[in-house]
Amino acid sequence: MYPPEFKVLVPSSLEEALKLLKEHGDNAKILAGGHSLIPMMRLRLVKPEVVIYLGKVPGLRYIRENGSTIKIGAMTTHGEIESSSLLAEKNPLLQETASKIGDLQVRNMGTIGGSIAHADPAADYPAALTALEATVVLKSLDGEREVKVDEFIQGPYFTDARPDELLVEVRVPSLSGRFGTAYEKLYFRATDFAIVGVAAYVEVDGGAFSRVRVGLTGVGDKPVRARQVEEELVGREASEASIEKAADLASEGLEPPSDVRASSEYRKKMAEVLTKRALTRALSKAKGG
Amino acid sequence: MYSRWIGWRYSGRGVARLEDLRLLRGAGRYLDDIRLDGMLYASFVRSEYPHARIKRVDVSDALKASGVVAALTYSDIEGRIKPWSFKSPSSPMYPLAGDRVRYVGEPVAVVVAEDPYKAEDAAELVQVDYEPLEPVVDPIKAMEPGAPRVHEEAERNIAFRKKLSCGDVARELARAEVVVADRLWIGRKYAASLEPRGVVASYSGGELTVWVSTQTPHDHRDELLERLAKPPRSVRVIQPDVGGAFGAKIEVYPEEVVVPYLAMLLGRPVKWVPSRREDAVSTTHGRDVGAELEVAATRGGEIRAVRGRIIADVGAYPLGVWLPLTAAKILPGAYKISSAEVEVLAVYTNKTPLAAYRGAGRPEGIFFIERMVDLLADELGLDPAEVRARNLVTPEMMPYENCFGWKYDSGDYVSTLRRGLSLLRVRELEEWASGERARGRLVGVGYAFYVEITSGGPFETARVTLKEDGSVEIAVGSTPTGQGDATGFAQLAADMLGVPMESVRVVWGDTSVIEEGVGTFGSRTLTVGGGAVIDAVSQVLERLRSRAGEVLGIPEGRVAYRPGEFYDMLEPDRVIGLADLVRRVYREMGESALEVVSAYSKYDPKTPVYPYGLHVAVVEVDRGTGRVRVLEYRSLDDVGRVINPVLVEGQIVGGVLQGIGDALYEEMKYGGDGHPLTLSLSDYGVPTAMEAPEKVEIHIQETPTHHPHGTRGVGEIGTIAAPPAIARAVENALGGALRVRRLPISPEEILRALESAR
Repeated sequence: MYPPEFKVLVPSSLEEALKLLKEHGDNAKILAGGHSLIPMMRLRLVKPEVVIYLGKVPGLRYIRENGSTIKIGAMTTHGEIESSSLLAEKNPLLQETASKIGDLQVRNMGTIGGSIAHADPAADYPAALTALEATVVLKSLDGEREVKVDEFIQGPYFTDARPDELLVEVRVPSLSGRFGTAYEKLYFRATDFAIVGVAAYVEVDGGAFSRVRVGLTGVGDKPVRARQVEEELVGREASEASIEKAADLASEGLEPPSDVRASSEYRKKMAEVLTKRALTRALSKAKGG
Repeated sequence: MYSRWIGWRYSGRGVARLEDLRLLRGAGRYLDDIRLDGMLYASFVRSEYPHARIKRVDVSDALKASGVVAALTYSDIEGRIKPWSFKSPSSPMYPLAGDRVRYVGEPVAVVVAEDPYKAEDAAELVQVDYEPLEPVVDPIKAMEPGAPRVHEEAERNIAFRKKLSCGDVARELARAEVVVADRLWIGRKYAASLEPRGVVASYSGGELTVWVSTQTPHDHRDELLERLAKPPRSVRVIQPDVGGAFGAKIEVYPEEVVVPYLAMLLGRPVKWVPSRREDAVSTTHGRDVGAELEVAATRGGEIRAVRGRIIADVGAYPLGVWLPLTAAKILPGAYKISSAEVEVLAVYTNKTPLAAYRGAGRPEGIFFIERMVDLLADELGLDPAEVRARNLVTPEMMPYENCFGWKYDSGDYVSTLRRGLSLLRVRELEEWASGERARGRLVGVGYAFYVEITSGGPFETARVTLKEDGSVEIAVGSTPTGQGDATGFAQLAADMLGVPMESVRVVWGDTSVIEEGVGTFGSRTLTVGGGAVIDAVSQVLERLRSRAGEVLGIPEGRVAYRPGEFYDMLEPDRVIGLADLVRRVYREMGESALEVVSAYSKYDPKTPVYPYGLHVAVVEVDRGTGRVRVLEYRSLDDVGRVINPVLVEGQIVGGVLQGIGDALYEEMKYGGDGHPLTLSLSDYGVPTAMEAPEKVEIHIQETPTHHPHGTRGVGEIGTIAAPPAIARAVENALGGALRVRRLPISPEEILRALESAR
C-alpha cells in the first residue's frame, strides 16, 4: 500500500493552482479531500507524478445564494453541505444526499468538488445533481465555463474537464414553491457506496405534478435521468397511484453493471423500487408532509 | 483449596479492564509501531494466477532499483528454509513458491529495500513468467473424476476423508416415519482483523528476535527452529499488542519465516507489514463448509438417525482439514442422536488455504443441525422448540458422550431451553411478529439451541511471583489479543492473595518471559490459562504456609489461610500477613527467595467443557429490496462461573455481531476463474456499528465445571449461535417463502423468493 514516488505541490492561491495545473496537466492529480485519490494511489491504480493540494487555496469553501442559484465552492465538505441551513431550506435534496455519504469521517474530509471530478459511477451526489440539472464551473488560465453535470460526467472516472481545468464551483437551483425532494440510497452497509441511488424532485400545482425530475446513480457508466418516468408523471394527478404506475419505467433502457454486490437485473429492479420510494417521499413533502 | 477464595472480592464482578487505559489512549504498541535502527523493509511478489506453472522468476531489474538490498526467489532459499510437508496427500508448501503456484496471493519472491516505498517499487520490477493451468474452483466438481488437480498427490482433490458412524443408521432410516433432507453451505470468510498480519525480525550475536502479530508465539519460536536449516543459537518471539486475530493468526505463515531468515542473511532488522489486499489473500480463510444431510425421525419429532456428508473447501494447502471433522463431531448438537453416519471430506481448490476462524467448525456443525431440526419441525408441523425439547440430552445423562465421541461435561439443556423461552419472552416476540406480519411488515423471530466445545489442551502455563514490594507479577503462556483476560487473571490472583488488583501485573506474549505456552484460541484462555494462574498461586501459598508455621512457631498442620494472611487455627489471633512473610523470605533468602515466592504451573485442562444456550434473533426484511436488518437479539448462555461479566458481555456481543456478518454480510467471493473478488473492506462486508441490532439482551447461567474456578469458554458462542437463529428469523419473516440453505443470505435471493411466492 505504498504509492510510487510523487511530488506534492501546495498552491496558496487559485491563480497559482491554475498555473500549476497548466504546467503539469496530464501528469497531475488534484488532491481535495483525498478519500478516493489516496486509496487509488496506494493501490497503484493511479500513479500521478504531481499531486496539487488545494487545502491552502482560499475562497473555494462556501455555500451562497445568488438569486435563484445556490453556489457551492468545490472544497466544501459533505459535512458542511449536510449541516447547511441554507440548503436545508432551499435545496434539501443536496443536503439529504450529503448526509448519506460514507461515514462521519468521510463527510468531514470529502469535498463536493472532489467527488464530482472523480466521477465514481456509484457516488451519491450525481443522482441529486442530475435531478437538479446542476452545473459545474470549470476554470483555467484561459477563462471559465459552466457545464451541466450530466454532460460533465462522461463515464466511470471520466469527465469533460481538460487537463488544465479545475472544477471550482457547483451550482444548484434555489428551490421554492410547492416542491418536495428525496434521495433513496440502497446500500449494503450504511457506510458503503450506493448499489443504486435515486434522487427525486417534484413540484405540484393544483393537485397535479407540474415538474418531476428523477436522477439515478449506480445503474450505469454515468448518472442518468429517468426521463420516461418524468414525462409520464408531469400533468398527472399528484398521487401515489400515479407514482406506482410510472416508477416501473425507471429501469427502461438501463444496462446496469453486475458485480459482487448486485446483479444487473437486481439493480434494474431496485431502480424501480427506489424511484417509487423517492417520488412518494418527495410528493409527501411537496404536500407539506 | 486456596481457590475457595475466588470471588471473595473481585471475581464475579464487572471490574473495569486493566488493558483499556493504555489501549484507549493510543499507547498500544502494535507490530507496525516497532522501528529498529537500520531496519529494512520486505515486499512480497505474489501469484496473480490461481493455478500456474512458474517458468522463470527474474529479479535482476529489481536488484538494480534504487535502495534495494536483496531480492530472493525459491532458488535462493532452497535448502535454507525447509518447506512444510503434511500428512494429507499434498505437495510441500514452500515459503516462496517453487515451480508452481496454487492460489492468487501465494508468495513467489521477496524484495528487501531501504524503505517500504522502494521495496514496493522494486517488487513491481520482478518478472515472473507463468504458464497458467486450469484452476480448481468448485469443491464439488473438484471431486469428479478427470478434474484438474491442485496437487498431483491428491486423487479427486481429496485432502482428507473420514467416515464417522455410530448406531444402526440403515435400520433407523428404513423404519423412519419421516425423513427430511437438505444441502447447506456457509460461505468463505476472511478474518479482517483491524490490524493485518506482520513481522519484524532482528538478528545479532547468534540471537534472533522476532516480533509477530500472532496468537502463538511459542509455536512460532519452535517452528522457526525447525524451518531454518541453520537455526540461530536462540530465538525469542514477541507478540506485541494485537489488533484482532480471530484464529487467523494461529498458523505460522511463509512470510513469518522468510523475514526472520532475511534478518539473519542480511544482518539488519527487516520488517514486513501487508496491505489490506495482501492480507486478504495471504491470511487463511474460514468456513466454506457445506453439508448434505438426511434426518430420520418419528412423527412425534424424535430424531432417530442422521446421515450424510460434510465437505470443506480447504483451498490450496491442507492446513484446515480438521475443520469439517470438527463440524461433524459437534453435528449431533445438544440432542440425543444415537445413530449417525457422516462422511467428512476436505477438498482442495485453488484458493487461499482454509484454517481456524472464530468457532472453527462449530458454527458450521451447529448451523447444519439447527437448520435440519427446523426443517423437521416444519415438515411435521410441530413447534421447533418442542422438537428440540423432545430430543435434548437430559441432565441425568450427564456427562454425555455424543455419538461421535465428544463428552459433554455438564448442564441442563432441557430446563435451559424452557427457561430461555420464558426469560427471553420468545412466545411474546413470536406473537408480536405475527401481528406485525398481518399488518404487512416482514418481521420474523428465530432461535437456535447450541452446545459447543471449549477450553482444550494440551496445557497452559503461568508463573506467579510475589515481589518484595508486595506486588504480584503473573506471566502467562496464553496470548490474549484484546479479550481482556489479563483483567480476569488479576481478579483470580488478587482474590486468592488478598491484594488489591492494582498491585497485580500480568505479562504475556514473549517467549523470554515464560518458556512454554500454547495460546489464545478455542475459547480457552480464562479457563485453561486461568487454571494455570490458580495453580501457580496455590503452589506459592502452600510453600509460604510452611514458612508461616516456622514464623508462628507452630506445626504446618496448624497453619490456616485466609486472603492476605496465615493464622494459627487453634489461636486465630496469631497471624502473619502475607506481605510481611514475603518480605521476610526475601530478607532471609536473598536471590533464592524466588524458590519460595515464585511458582510455575503447566495446567492440564484434562477434558474440554461445553457451554450451551438459547439465542434469539428478531429481523425485518425490506419487502422492496430484500435487505435484512437484525432488530433485536437476546441470549441465555450457560458459560459456567463468571469471572468478569464485562468480559463475558464483550465476547458475546462481539461474537454475535460477527455471527451477523456470517449470516448476512461477509463472504470472501471468488470468480469462476479462481480470482478473489472481495479484497478490500468496501467489497468484503464486515458489519459495522450501523448494522448492529438496536437492542441486545444477554442473560447468563452459571453451572460450574470441573475447573477450580468453574468456567466454560465464551469467546465463540456468538459466531456459533447467531447464524442459525438469524437464518430461522429470516424464514419466519418471509412466512415460508424461502428456505435458508446458504449463508450469507443475499437480498437478491430473498427478493426472488418473495416474487416467486407472490
